Amino acid sequence: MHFTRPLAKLIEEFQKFPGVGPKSAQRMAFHILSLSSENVHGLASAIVDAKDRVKHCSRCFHYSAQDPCEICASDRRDRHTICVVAEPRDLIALERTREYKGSYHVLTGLISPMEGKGPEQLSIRELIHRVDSEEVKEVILAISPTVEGDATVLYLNHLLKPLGIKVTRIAFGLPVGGDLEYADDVTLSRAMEGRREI
Amino acid sequence: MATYSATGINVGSFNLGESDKIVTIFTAERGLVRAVAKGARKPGSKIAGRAEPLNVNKLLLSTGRSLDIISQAEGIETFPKLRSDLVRLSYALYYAELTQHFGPGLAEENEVYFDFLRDALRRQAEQDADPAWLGLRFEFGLLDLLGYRPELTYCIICRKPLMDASLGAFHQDWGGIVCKVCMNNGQNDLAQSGDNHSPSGFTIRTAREITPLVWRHLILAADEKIPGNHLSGKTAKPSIKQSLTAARRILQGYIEHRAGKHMKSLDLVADFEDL
Ligand SMILES: [Zn+2]
Ligand SMILES: [Zn+2]
Repeated sequence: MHFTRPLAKLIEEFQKFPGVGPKSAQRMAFHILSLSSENVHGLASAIVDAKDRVKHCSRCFHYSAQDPCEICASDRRDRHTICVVAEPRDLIALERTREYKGSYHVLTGLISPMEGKGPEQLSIRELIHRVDSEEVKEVILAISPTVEGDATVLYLNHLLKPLGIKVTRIAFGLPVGGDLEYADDVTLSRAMEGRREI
Repeated sequence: MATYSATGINVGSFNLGESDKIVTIFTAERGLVRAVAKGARKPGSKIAGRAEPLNVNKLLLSTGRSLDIISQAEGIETFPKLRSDLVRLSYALYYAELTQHFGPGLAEENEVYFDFLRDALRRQAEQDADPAWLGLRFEFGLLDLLGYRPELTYCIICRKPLMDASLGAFHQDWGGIVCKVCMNNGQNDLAQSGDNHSPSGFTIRTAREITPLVWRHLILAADEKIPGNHLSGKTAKPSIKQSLTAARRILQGYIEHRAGKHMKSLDLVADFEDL
């Protein structure tokens, strides 16, 4: 198939997006061409604007256009509790629950021993500094129960425990609405471990 | 589509597209296999847990055009205790990393290696013996299967039997220990020629010094008749732990020299082991 140069270039760029194959990239490119010039300029400047203005919060490493971010700046959040997550999208998922009123710390990834991704590539030093300087009472590790998640939790625990603060990890177990008999044994044993009195 | 069944240990994975994973599996039936785990990154997907590194599964695979696809996976073993100790978890991942690299060369010994790897993971998970000691045992076992067993009792240059007083260094190129006399000769030759490869062929840069204690750990670990729980994880004296770590690093260096690449999994806990 032949595309005129600028169109081919646009399709190529869309194809770099996560989960976008050649077919979808073409559809998106044709969609752009069908828009009014005004709309396309709006889209283009939204992309550039977001990239230019959204940075990591210097305290918690969440994405924000202001520094400190909206959560760190709020005086309605409990500063004695830090919830540690791997990525900004995990923070957003937790915020959706409206359950948690403390502050956050985004690691910007997980330790991956096999990939050679170590703690120095994450915001771990900054976390320890916060715990040291901010009168933190509890650190909640909201980190997935994968091999990389577990390695990260063990490593953080090794650093945090000597500081004499409470370190907890969110419970893992059966998905709500899930069937007990179909759960795998690791999920079941973790669910059993994390049981609590009713 | 043709299907086949296999029992395998996951030794690695990487992401494919939006929600899939490609899993590297060492199977008892076919050795190293790469297969797609569809939907393995979707939350709540049944295959997600099964596709995790170090898990052992009974699999039903469909042969695809380029990659095989996991159509069914039934978990047999997951070593949950490995997930509670960072050093042991790192060793287990190191075994997996070595399997990824050397797996293709073990094709003729699929079943033997599968059992060997599963046993090694079980031992590391049992949390009984010292993790570095178990790691050293694993390294010797792997080298044996690959046909690279190092020479530990004779000097590899002059063939004289080694003793505490005559120990020189471990020589990675030649896969064995060089006695003190030969090491000094090598160093003199090096000083005269200014060349890394001296006339006696001794490359100082790839040699690592050996102490009697380190030597003993190597000899003991190389002997299959010595029981696995020789060194308990908690009671070993610091000096013994240090020399054990040194012995293990010599062997890792030798394996990496053979592999032509650095194994990363133990980098994270290197500082912990030196404590
Ligand atoms: Zn913030
Ligand atoms: Zn000699």
